[in-house]
Amino acid sequence: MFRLPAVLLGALVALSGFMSDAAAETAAEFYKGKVVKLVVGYGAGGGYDTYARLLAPHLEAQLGATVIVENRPGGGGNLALNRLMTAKADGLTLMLINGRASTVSQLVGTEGVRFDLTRLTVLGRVTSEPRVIVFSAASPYRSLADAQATAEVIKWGAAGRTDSLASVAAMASTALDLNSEIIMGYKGSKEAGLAAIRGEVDALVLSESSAAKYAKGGMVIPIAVFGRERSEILPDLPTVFEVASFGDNAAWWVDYTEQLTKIGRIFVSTPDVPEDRTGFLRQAVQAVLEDPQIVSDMAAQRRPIRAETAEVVEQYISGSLAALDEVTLARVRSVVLEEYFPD
Amino acid sequence: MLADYLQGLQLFLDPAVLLLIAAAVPVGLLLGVLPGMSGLTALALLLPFVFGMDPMAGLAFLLAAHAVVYTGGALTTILLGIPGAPPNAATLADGYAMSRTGQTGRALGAAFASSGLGGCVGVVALAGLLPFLQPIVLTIGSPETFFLALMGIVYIAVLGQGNLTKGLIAGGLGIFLAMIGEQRITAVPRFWLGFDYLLDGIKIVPLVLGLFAIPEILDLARGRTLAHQANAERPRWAEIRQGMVDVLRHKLLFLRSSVIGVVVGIIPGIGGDTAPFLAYASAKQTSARPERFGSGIVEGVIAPESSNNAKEGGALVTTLGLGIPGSAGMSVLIGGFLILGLEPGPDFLAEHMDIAVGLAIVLAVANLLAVIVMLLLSQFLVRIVEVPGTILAPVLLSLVVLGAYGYQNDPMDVVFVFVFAVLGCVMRALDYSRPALLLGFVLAPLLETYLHISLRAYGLDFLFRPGALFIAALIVAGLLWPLIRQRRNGGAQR
Repeated sequence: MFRLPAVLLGALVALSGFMSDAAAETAAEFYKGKVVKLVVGYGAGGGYDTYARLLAPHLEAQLGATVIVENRPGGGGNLALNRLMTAKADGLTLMLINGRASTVSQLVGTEGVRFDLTRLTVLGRVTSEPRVIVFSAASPYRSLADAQATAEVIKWGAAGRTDSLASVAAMASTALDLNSEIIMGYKGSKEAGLAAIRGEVDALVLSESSAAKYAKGGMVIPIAVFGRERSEILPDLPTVFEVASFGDNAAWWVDYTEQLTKIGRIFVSTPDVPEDRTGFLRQAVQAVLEDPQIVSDMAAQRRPIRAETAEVVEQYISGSLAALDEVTLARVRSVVLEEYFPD
Repeated sequence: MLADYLQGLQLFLDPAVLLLIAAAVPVGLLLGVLPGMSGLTALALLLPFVFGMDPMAGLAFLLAAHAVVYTGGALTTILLGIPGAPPNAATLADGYAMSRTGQTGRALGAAFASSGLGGCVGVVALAGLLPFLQPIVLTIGSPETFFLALMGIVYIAVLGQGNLTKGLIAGGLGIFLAMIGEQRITAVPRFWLGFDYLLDGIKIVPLVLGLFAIPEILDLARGRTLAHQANAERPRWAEIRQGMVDVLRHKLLFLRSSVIGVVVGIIPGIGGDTAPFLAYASAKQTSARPERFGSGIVEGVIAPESSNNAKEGGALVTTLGLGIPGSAGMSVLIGGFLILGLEPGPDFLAEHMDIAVGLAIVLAVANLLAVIVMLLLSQFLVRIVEVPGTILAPVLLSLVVLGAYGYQNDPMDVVFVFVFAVLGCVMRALDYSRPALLLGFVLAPLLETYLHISLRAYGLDFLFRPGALFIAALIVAGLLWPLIRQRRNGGAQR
């Protein structure tokens, strides 16, 4: 009499096992032989393009699909993201995006933004680089204390209002209570870096690798990492917490900026991708980004990988966007958009 | 130092490198010949091929293809009146006019020779300037960039083909078109009409194709045959040789234009598309017979074509020495460096001077090789003009559509080619200068951006920086030159 339920149970277990197998198989099978578009919101030859092209063959191997990199420059990557929002939710369109810039654009409501990062399907982070404050060797400042003590206006270089150069400079100025002005119009961190070398601007916020590169020539002086953790590339450089003291309010700006930084360069897909395909894509992305061979190859090409899972990245994104109350949001908007741009 | 040069030569003489250069030059030339495909397209297309190549080989491959695009572009410009790449538009006025008055061979000879030699001047500048890079780049800041753009804007009137008012109107229209889209500094969108495509601004490739290419294609479609005007004979060697000798005859003009190219190339902000227009305008402004520019004289071909190729050497100076791209194409080249595990910048010169020297040699050899290839091919390619217009037109139209689409994979670019085609036809019919429009379009954002940066960074003091004063003096001298010459000539006659 007890045998029948046992058999039934056994059958059920087998069936459920089979079903989950079948589900995994359908996602894998779905991708087999398909063409996956990997969109880059910038032109060919840039950092995002290179990452995408270097990783595409590895994704191909994991997905069993053909991965084609497509450049769709425009609006600092925002136009391509707008299009991703309305693309078919079949999991065949991926995009490598600039997490911080997109988050800031959405946060301050840049005109022409029609995407919502919290609705996108996040697949995983490729890398993120700590931000380093550097001063021009031609400027009179050699430490944060110098900059805080001066009566002069400290000039920062940037491209546009919501890029990393400007938004971190604005938040750093708020946290450190600096008398700053952000000069925009440079074509990117390279041209702004040149301006710092010439002494046209006093200060700049760079990625740790750019800061290390310019520092080697003695052309700019790295001052501090803007965050709580030291940089791997510049291990001797202190963090702002080590060289300056902060009240709770000021520390919030550093932590908030660091959280934005940690979103980093991420793989995303359209909203509402079927769950099994999301799982499969995340698995594939993770497998690529955690492969030691790929990690060391990429490091050799100066394209380091610092992977993070989709779940953690989603927390960073919602922590940067949804978690802000209205008063804080208004304050962030004012800092990013207005306070350091005398117009 | 000498050891570096020898090692550079050794790197260059590697058979794999030589083979890749030989493969890259025809690709670059072909992309130049095809309207809408520019040096940028060449690099973007070839970039995926360098994964896994030896650094020197990969870079030689990219650089060789990129460097010769404008040499190829001259052919389309002169034969068909369609700029092969945006910078070739400056050659259009005189190159196409020469071709239509039966001087095709001479125009081609002059264009190829000045391209090739101009490229070599760029290389000499590159080799000579690398050690002095730091002071040069430190002298040229935002104020100087602003004044150079101002110099270009002043020349708009010169490009106006004799009619000052029409030249200024065309230039003004170009400035207006450049204002469409997100303002570079404030990110405030202007004149975008709620239309996503315009948010990013008007792009130069659809603009050039629409303004210049479509009107010519329409003419062909209406039954005009090129050979009809170009006295059907194929250019003989003698004619081509005459064009090449012309370059040597106009030594000063050639050198000055090449130097303009190098300077524009070195400055990261300006972007190479400006160089040929500046060279053309300065040639016209300082010429003893400015009224004949545009009617098909060889100086109007030599000036823009020599600066076109010279600017690549200049652009490479900042790219190699500072890791800061001097033009859009160079930023893709930097991508190539990174893929190959190298990082251009001050360290790069200290550690890899041999590669820098090797690349300079590649640039020179690719330029000369391109001239030889084009000279050999031109004997056959000029027969294109004998093809009836009604057959040529649809082929060219397909190429233009492909070029516009291939630029950024955006179908809207193709639509805008035809929007600008209407403008191009109207301007041509009413005799407004299209190069003036293009110059205004290219320079307006520079003026706006660098005036803003200069004022913010230096206040009004920016006017008194030595570099700025020097360029301002050049502008004034350029404007007064015709008056001075007139007076001197008048004095001589008396």
